[in-house]
Amino acid sequence: MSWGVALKIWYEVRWPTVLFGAAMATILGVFAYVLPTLFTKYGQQFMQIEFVRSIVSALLGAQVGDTLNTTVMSSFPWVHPVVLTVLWAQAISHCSRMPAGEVDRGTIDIILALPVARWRTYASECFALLCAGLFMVTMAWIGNRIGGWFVITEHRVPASILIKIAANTYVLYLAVGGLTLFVSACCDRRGRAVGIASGVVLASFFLSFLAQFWEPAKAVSFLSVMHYYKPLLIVRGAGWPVGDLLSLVAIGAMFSLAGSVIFSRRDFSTG
Amino acid sequence: MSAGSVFGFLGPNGSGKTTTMRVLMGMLRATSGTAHIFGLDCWLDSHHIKTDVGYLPGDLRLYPWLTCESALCIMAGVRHLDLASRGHELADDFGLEVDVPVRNMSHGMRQKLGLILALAHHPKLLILDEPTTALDPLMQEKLFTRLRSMTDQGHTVFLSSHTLSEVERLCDRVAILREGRLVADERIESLRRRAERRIHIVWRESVDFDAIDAPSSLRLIRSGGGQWEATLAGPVTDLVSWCAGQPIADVSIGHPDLGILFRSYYTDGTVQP
Repeated sequence: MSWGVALKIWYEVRWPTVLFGAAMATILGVFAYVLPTLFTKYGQQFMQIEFVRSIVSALLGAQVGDTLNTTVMSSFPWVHPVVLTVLWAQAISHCSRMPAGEVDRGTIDIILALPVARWRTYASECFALLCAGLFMVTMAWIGNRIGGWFVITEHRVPASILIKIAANTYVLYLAVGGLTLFVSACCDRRGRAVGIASGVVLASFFLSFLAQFWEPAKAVSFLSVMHYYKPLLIVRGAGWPVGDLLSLVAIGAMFSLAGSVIFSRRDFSTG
Repeated sequence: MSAGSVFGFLGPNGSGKTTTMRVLMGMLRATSGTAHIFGLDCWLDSHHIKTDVGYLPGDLRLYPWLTCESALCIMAGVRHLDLASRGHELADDFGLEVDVPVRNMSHGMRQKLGLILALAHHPKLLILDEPTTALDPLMQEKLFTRLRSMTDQGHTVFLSSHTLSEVERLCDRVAILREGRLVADERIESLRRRAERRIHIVWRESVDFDAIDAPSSLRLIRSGGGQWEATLAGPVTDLVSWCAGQPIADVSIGHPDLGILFRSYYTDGTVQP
């Protein structure tokens, strides 16, 4: 990678990333406090309704049974659509900047005029993705811990479990980021790159959601990145989800590598 | 291109000047043939070449958050050079404030920042795509002086332009491109020798062009009121000798007009011998 290019990325993304991170911490903090409180009051009645139980199971990616316990409550913020939306929005906006955003804006000439091999420029973007993801997940972790201070001890997720969920969230972020880098390397318009990446991620989410109700969707749910993201199983006491983590890392790495090859070989025109 | 010279690259819109420059900068791969700078392939060894190349794009776009100061920091990080002193010197010379972000800059100021980024590392080769766009005459003058001082030190400048006067003034050699093909590549003196001059003759008495034995290099454009407007495509000495024996009240001979020559290349790719 090139430290000069990394410095340029830092200038460019620092404030948006801080804002996304702050939003992530706030939302996770609020959910860590509100959801256990809310579910303690109304959860049992809600869970008697089959439809609600199915929806919650679908979101968590595992059957929750007919009782809503602290386990379910503590993992719920990590799969809440608002949290995932913020996470993915940051990953997609961050990774669609280069090269699609640069070509779109016409600034790719500045990048390509630098004495840096294209693969090193791309590696700098990948490094920035790793750092931004780490920041986002750390902010989520901090928010969750702060929110947890205000609820009773039984409703808090132990740090040892939280770190596993955070790791799972981090590699999910990298998979979505890697996919977006690949799409961005193929596009000349940022809007198109954002649209394609968002479409794939939403389709992936929807597929994983459907798989809980519909057998045909279950058969192909392994194609969804959400298939490898199951905070509920981690909270239930399973060890490190090594298979899921490696699958998501492999997806992210494969797309990033493919994007790097395309970025290194393609022509760039502006205007 | 020889080292220490200014090479002008001319041609009408869409002739392929910018595309050629993008091929040289390794942004586009040539569909056929190869391009080399410093003996290295412009596609395969592009990043090595760019160590000693400064580039100013024709349609310069910069990041809205970029300031001259932050740009110099980034370039210094990439090039592993201390660019602060030379960058500030260039900014002072061009009258650019170093802490103003691009979003608050005028078109001309952005062009100055682009030039500073192209010049700051003192490159052996400068590739400038219409560098004087948006610059005021004073700033153009400063740029020409700087480019001349760089070529005096052995640096080479490759620039495209639509402004014939600046090409004529600055360039040692000129290449003319038309519809993607090189139709001329000559030293500027050679072009000047071939360029036509504007001639204005005032006769003491009315004269018919066809009835008089004028030099073959003289071409009449219009006549009337005892005056001729003509162009001369050959040596001035022939004309002067001829004029001496004619009933002429006054004659004025203009400088070689490269504009006429360039226009003929632009329109049909050939010139009258």
